[in-house]
Amino acid sequence: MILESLFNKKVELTELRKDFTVLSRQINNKPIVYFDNACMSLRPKRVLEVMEEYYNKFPGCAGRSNHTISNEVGKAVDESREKIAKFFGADKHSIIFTKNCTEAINLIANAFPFKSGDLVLTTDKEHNSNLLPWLRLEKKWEIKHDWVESGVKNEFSMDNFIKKITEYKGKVKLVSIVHTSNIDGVTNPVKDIARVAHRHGAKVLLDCAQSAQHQEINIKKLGVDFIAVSSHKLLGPNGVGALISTKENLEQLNMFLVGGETVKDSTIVDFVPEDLPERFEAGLQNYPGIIGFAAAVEYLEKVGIRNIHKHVVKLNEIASKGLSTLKGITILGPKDAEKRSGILSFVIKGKNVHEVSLLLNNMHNIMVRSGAHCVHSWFNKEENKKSLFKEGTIRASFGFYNTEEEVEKFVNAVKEISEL
Amino acid sequence: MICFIALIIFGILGIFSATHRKLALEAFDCVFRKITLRKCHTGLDIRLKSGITGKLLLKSPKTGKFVYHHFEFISGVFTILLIGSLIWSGISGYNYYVYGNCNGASVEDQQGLCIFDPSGDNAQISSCDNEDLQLQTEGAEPNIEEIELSLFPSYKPNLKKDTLVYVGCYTCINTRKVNPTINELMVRNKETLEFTFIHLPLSKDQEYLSKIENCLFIKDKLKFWEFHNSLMQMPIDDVKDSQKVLSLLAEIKDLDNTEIIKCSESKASEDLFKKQLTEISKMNVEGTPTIFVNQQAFIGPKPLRVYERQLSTNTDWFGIGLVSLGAVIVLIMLYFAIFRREK
Repeated sequence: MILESLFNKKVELTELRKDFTVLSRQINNKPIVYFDNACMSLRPKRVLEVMEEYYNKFPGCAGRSNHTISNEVGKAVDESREKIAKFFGADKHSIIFTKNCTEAINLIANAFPFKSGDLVLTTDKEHNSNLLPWLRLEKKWEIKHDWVESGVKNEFSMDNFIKKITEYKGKVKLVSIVHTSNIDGVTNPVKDIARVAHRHGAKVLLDCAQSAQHQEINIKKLGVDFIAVSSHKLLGPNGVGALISTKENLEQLNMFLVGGETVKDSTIVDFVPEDLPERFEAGLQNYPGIIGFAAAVEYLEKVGIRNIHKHVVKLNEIASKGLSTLKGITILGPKDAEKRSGILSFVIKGKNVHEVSLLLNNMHNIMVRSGAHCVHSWFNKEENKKSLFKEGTIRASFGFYNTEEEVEKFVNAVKEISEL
Repeated sequence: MICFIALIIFGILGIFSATHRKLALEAFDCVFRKITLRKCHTGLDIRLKSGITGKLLLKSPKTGKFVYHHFEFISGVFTILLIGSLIWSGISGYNYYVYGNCNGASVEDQQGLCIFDPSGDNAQISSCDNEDLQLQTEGAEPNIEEIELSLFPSYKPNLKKDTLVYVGCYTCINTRKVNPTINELMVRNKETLEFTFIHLPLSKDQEYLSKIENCLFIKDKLKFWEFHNSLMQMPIDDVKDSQKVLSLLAEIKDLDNTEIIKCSESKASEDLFKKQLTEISKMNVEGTPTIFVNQQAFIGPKPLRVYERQLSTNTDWFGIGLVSLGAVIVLIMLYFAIFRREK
């Protein structure tokens, strides 16, 4: 119940939970249990405060006008950029703000200097956000897409990866993979993947939407070329994400969305591109979102990513242990909860996954997600269509503000439903 | 199954609320897909099941469990009841359109309760307390098949296609209500509709009116109809006053009213009236107005469409519309079931 926390002090979880107003909400006179953190994290008061501050004190444009308010926004955004970049181990000029993780991946899909015949390699467990951009590319241009089949236990197979990338003999220009899967919580061995990919001349794009809240994401340490993240999974506001890279990598990208602030100058027939990172940030940006995003990463840093990881794994262990004693429950992914970080995907034999999630919600205010979790391609694989997971799974995803009592309540509720 | 019930309930609630309209559309999508042999994608059925059983499980676990396990069966029962009720309502609606009541064509049906006419205005008649008239009404349907209609004043068109026999009374409020409708029906179908008016004197003191009308009809048919219409427009209390009625008769231009009065007091007139009473007694009418359109009896003041539908000259657009709509629905369903089938 204790997180090693703010300013190296020990802070009771109950105190920390007070930062999240929604956690005190009751529905039908019962507290809510929010276990849908893989979809959207909750926001601490601080994030909301800084966003409100923007609208109340300096609601202007950054980098355009010269008045006081505009300068204040510019300064706040600049500081936010620096904080966020630092959080991901990047240079502040190497972070491009996007709408979300999906847009960051789409930016690469549209700006990467592909040539006809080039190939993009993914895994077979990609979120639609890291699959559809490549499928579209395949249909529109002569860029191919292939994937690495997972090995036994549904984990990343390095053998399959090496085999595949070797077969293509240098044609693979981009390896775009998920860091932590949102269907089973399994984290891919990114450092090894990046090493192999680089050896074969491919760049690596890492979809960190799911991992960023409870794993250290340092672009240099991971050795990848691009990182895509969403603020809303990192305690931050909706509508902000980022593509993080290095100056060298970003310089190689073609311009994609162009317009206001992406050029230094223009004539009626030509334009001079802006420097990084503004070159890729067309139009007026989501300033309160960016400021809120920075406040969120600051909050995460204070709580401590390692503490968060430890806590969610512990919750997952308790939940997994509780569910494994129940009849008819099958957990997707490795048995070891530590390998699934904060995600627990499961099915109950003979029960519709949506029905279970709705019953959890309607009976106990326990909020989980059910279905294919935007990874339809994995659930639509022939072998999975015949498996227990044909309708998808019920996914409980834990956040650092969740408690063991909530997990126990969840286990008891699942037990009740499984016995129906 | 549950989606069908949801469609009806949310469809009604959707009239008042946008949220329910959205749910109704989901339910419609689900029902349409199911009846065209495709899979329902909305998940509404699951949401409803979880919503209902979730609440029940909290309140009464035993009942909740029972409903959870037999949800399809229970929704099936409710769906059948709902479909039955809908069919019943449909039949009632059809009957109301066709016969002006919810129950059907017979007199007994016409007097039954009808949701579309809760006060029963469409079936109200004024009953007879005339001792001279021995109306046979018990368990018998009004009938004019063996009635000698030539004894009564009538209008004969050039090309008779339909007959209308109007049993009415000048002092009856319900006859007054239906009279404009009958007049309009007559005007619209004057070329083909044979019209017979049978005055049913509800009380003995009204019998003289029949006699005067008989004499007037024999003397001058046009003047008879003029007098008839004037009587229908005259206040009821005035009609009950014989002096005022006779004054009305005297107002008719180019008519020797004394001759008519004299005729009405004659033995021949009395004989004719008695014959008329005998015929009226055989008709099994209970009161006025009772209107026969081509043998179909209607009691009480019905809307114009009800009478018109019985005419052979009438085009049944309602029926055609219903059949066409049914055919279109079946064709759409077949199209989706055959050509848009999903694996």
